[in-house]
Amino acid sequence: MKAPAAAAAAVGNRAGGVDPSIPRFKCQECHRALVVVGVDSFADKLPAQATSAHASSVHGSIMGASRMDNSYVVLSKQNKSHGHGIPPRPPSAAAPHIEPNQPTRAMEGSYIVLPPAAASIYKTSTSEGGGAQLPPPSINSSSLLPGNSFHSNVTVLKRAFEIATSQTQVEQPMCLDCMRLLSDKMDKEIEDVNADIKAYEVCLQHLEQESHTVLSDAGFQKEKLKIEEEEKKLNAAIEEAEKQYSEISSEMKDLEIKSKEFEELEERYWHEFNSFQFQLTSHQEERDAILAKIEVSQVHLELLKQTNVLNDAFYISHDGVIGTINNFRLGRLPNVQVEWDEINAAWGQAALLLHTMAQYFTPKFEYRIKIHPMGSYPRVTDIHKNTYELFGPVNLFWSTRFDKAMTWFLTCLQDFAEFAISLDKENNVPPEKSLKLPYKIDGDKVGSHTIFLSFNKVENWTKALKYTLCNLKWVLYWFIGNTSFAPPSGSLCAAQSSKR
Amino acid sequence: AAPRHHPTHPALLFASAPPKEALSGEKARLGDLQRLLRMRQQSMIGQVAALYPVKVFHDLPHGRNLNSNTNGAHRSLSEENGTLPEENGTHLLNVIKLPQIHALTFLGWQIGKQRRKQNDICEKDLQRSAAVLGYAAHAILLIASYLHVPLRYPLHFGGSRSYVSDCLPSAETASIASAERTCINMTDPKLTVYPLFVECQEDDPTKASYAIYLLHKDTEQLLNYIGAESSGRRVFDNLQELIRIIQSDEYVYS
Repeated sequence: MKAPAAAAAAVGNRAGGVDPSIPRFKCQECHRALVVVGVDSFADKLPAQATSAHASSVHGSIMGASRMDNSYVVLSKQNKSHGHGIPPRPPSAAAPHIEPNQPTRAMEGSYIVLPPAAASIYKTSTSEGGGAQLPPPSINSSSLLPGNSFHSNVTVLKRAFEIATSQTQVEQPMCLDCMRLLSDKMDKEIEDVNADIKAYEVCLQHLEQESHTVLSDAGFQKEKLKIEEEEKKLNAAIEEAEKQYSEISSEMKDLEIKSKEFEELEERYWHEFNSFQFQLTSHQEERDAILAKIEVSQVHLELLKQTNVLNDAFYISHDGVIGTINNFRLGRLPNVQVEWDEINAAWGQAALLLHTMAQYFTPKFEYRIKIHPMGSYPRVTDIHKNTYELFGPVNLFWSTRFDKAMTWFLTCLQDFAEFAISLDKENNVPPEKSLKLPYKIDGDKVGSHTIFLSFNKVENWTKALKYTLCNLKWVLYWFIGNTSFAPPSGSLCAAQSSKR
Repeated sequence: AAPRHHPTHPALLFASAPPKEALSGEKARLGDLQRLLRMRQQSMIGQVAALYPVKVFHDLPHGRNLNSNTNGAHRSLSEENGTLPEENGTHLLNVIKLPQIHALTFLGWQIGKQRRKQNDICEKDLQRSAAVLGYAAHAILLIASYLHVPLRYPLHFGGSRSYVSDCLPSAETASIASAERTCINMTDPKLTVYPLFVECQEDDPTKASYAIYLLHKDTEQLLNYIGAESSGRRVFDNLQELIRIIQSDEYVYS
């Protein structure tokens, strides 16, 4: 505890050695430099001798002291002016500790406020006589020599601080701010201790009261048994709780197992769901494909049902005033030139058609005038076994053989038509529903127009050809309506066997 | 569906049945419809076969063609009647009796021996070849339309002046111009047409030969369409096989 003070004293000594006129002390709490003033007046107070100026100053101090509490050291302005070059502290920095019940005047510089214990000790010293504490020889020597006087001042302060430290258990010196903080802290500690004291007193009172209600041995045994029974009940409750806990634990374990099973089931369900979705999509696509095929097949079948092979192979129509078969024009006009290749192709198809129908009904139909289809080069054989070419080109002014071929074609068509009519009669077909050629055929004339090309206008010839095709068309429709025109399977097999 | 121990969604079990039942119903309906379609096709193509009967002779009756006059031709027809009296379309057999390869040989033979024969023989034989090829083209056209097959090498039927078209452009522009000059209703300039005939004995038979080759490819396409394969490089063999398969029961119930 005293080491810091000794160190401070040592520092002071060194400082005194360097500059004896400037002593240094530090606050032991905040370690700031302290400036101690007023010691001279205190020292001068003890000796009675003094100069006149000093005497007036001393008198002022004594008067102040008499009116104020002994805990203060009064500082004078004049002493401060003689401070030996010490830099003065601002007056506002030091807040004076003012007793509320004591009137005070503004003080300059700083001062030391001692705790009550120290103050009381100090008071006792004062009452005993301040001179007794200090040896008279040292005072005399210090007053005579200025250097010795400062040293004695520092020594006095050091001793004062050591005494204060030993008495108060607090390191000294301290500045005013730290002193105030310390005072507040000690006040709080005092309050706490007082509170503890009161609490202890209350406890002591309770103990004194309770001590009167001490249980007897019998009561104690009774209480002990009661508590033991309660303990047994609690142990039983604990066992029951543990049993329930184990049951619930096992139940929870079962539930976890079931939860895992449910998760597996759910996963399997989703797999099956996805598989089903895939199958459903596949089936839907397959069904859509089948429905599309059905629609296509239906359209195709309907188209084929509406198509007749003979009518398709020998489509007879007209292009203006020119008759056509399979889009081959039969005939020509002065302003419409049709090549012989096309006319020959048309005659070729007409010959093939008439030959096919006649051949179908042979031998019932007396096929006396024969048609020989050979593409665009058909021929006709008459009843006299003469064969004529039914194709061109031929000379307009000399086409005897071509004219005869066309005439015999007309005769053959007429023969087949008459045969068809007789067949209708044979089958009891009503006359109005029987075949009737739209254009009458008489020798080389059809519809009153000669089919001869020689010495004939091409317009008339073309008209006769158109009428011929129209008659052929009516015969074709009769043929389609009265025959199935399909090769017998026996015939087909016979054909195949004959080939092999 | 596999049996499940936890039927969490019973609606799915019922939902899984209708699609399959409906599907089998639709399949049966499609099957019936296709059978009807094939029966109709069989009937129609049978009529085409009756209209254009195909007989393939592997030995050409050269002797009969040596006769040149009209009476000779008539006698040939009588002989045909005698040999095959019960066949429908007997007289047509006389027309369709030049198979493709033999037709080529025949044409070559005729061209090679033109100096020793009269002009009438050459002209008539050329007419026969052109007629046969024209009829074959028409038959193939009809069969393809009834089978609903677009031909890879389109045909233009013109009687004895029929043509086959190739979509590839020809390097011989003169050939195109020459072919187009005699074309009928050939409006597509991108098509190269080849004649299924020889105009006269002096004509080069190369184009006609290529036309016959393309006609053969068309018959091969139709055979492949019904699931059969082509046999060799003969137009009329393929055509005969095509008609035979379509007329058989395996075609309807396949």
